[in-house]
Amino acid sequence: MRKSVLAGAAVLMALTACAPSDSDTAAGSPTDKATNNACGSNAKIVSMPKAASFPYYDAANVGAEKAAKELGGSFSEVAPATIDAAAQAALIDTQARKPDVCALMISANDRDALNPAVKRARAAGKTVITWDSDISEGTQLYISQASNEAIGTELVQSLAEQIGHKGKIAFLVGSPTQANQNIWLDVMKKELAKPENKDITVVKTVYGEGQDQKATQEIQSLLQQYPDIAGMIAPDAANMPVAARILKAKKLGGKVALTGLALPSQMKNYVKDGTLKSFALWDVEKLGYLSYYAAHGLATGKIKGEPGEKFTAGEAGEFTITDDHQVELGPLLFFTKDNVDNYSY
Amino acid sequence: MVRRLSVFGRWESFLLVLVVVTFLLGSASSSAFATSANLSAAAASYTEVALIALPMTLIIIMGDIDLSVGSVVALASTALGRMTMEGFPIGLSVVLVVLLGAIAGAVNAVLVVVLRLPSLVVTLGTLTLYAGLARVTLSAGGVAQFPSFVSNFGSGYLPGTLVPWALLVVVVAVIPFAVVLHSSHLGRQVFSIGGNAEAARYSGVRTERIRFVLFVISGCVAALAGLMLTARLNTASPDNGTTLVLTVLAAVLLGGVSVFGGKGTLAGVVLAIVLLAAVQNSLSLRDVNSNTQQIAIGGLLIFSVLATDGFSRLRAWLQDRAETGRRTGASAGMPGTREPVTTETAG
Repeated sequence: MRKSVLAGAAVLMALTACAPSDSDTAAGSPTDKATNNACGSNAKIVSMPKAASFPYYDAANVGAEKAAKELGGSFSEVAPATIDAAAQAALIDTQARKPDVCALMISANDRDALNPAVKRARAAGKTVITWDSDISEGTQLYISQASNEAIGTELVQSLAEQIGHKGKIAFLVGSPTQANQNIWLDVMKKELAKPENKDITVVKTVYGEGQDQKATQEIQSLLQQYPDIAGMIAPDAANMPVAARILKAKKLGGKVALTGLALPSQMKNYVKDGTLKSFALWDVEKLGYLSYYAAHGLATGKIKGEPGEKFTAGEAGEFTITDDHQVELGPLLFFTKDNVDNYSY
Repeated sequence: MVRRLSVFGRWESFLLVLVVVTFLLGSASSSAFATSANLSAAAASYTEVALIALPMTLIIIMGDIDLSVGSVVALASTALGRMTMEGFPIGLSVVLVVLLGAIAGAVNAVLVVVLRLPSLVVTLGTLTLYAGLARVTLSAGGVAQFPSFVSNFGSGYLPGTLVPWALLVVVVAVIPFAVVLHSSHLGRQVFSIGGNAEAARYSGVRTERIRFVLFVISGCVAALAGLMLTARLNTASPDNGTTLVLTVLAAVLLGGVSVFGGKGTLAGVVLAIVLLAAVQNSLSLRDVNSNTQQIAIGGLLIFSVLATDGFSRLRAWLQDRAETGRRTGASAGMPGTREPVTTETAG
């Protein structure tokens, strides 16, 4: 048995021994050894969404691939299996070590948890931008889908109108740590505090955790707990179809108002059969398209990333970098039964 | 009497071969794989798993299980965040968090050992309970304002090397666990509890005390891992560690520890962790998507169960033949064709 102890120790020794072999990278500035000093227009850009296999990110990929084709760059997607910040941080570290990768475009699972990994990636010479969901420090640009103000206020206004500015409502959100949704919640609460909405009360905030089963349970128990609920706002594309499915099954369509952010393909049938009037999103394809243009521009030096700088993102037009290093895609896009068929994602 | 097979017949040797093959394939498929920076980052991302796997190995060998470790990690992370927000000095917070881990472990221990409830059910319950407590401790969002000591520990290396500090913690922790399990009286008692708890008790092993202490240690170590993960991500969040436990269990079982208790080595578990980390890292470097990676790792686990089962059957068969050979005597003169193979392998 002592042998196995020694074997275990030996393996760890081996692991530790191979690590320090080029200690100069750690001691000095790793940028010296950085590999991508020359990212040409064929730059390889990796998108790192929150998790794999979401139709939302697939739509963004379509836009990013289109941009890659126009610019002559390459594009690939790398994502954790579930919404998990630690797993995403590990993936960032892995990509940062690949000599052929020029830039990373990240939709962050956590506002703070990716900062150390992004710092290491930057030190290894990679261009890093965030899109869709930001981090608190280290990103060179944040491509935001729409201004947080617009998302929060327009969703509340749409719902308030549908319920005649009175009644009980609930928020159906993803998880308590998702940065973007927390900001929208704050904006929505501010909008609800306005005098015209004084008769609206928020009775509950429900977390779907990005899982169909969890969301189903939570929304069903919400409807049982508050049978007189007037409306629900879901700023989370995973909760929207679940909520619509439940409303339809319980024949509550038109009685309980529902609005939120979702993909047209998820909700197409529900707006057509009247389960809900409208829902919103930004142009996801265009978001991926713009993000790729920004990452590519920064990696190749065409964009400096300075406040006030203007750049053109192909057919999406001209954008300006704000003082806090953001680029905003534009206002919300509302989908109704009349226009929902115009969008393929 | 149990006869030891040669080193070639051991599961650990097989794992070692797999590790070597993975390293060779990894290096061949990506130039970035065998760089020290990559290995350092890959090792860092498995330090929490490795640390938690140490007490888990002993607990599973003992015939129990502790599913609550991931939630203890989350609880430790949020507790550290909360204490930092409240202005506690970092040294005091660290001590209190480890103590909190001990309490969490002791709660498991009381339910499992004193009240004699099955550990699978108890720790499934505390898994949810502690996760809930973690969310209450730090309800909205995460905390990322730590003293620089924390982030230096989490992202820093031993001076002059690329060895993450957390890896040093793991290496230091492996030693006492390995010594206790494999070369101490206490270790033999752990195996005997897993082999047959009743028999162990009648032969004078203080089974209750040992099981109690191991659950408490498991809680402490999980809390320590929670501190390490918090430092590595520089963020306290109730989401930290929630996916850890399945990886830990995969590592322990892949390492050849019997899920029924009584069998296993720490070397096997350490090799399994290195293997998992290397497989995952090399697949990531090849941009293999994470769903496919999960299929690969799940497949590896199933394969390990099949293979260990095959190994033990082979071993039993070989032993059986060796015994039969001896009993019938005069094995040298026996005409059996497979006879020489038997004697060589069992030697």
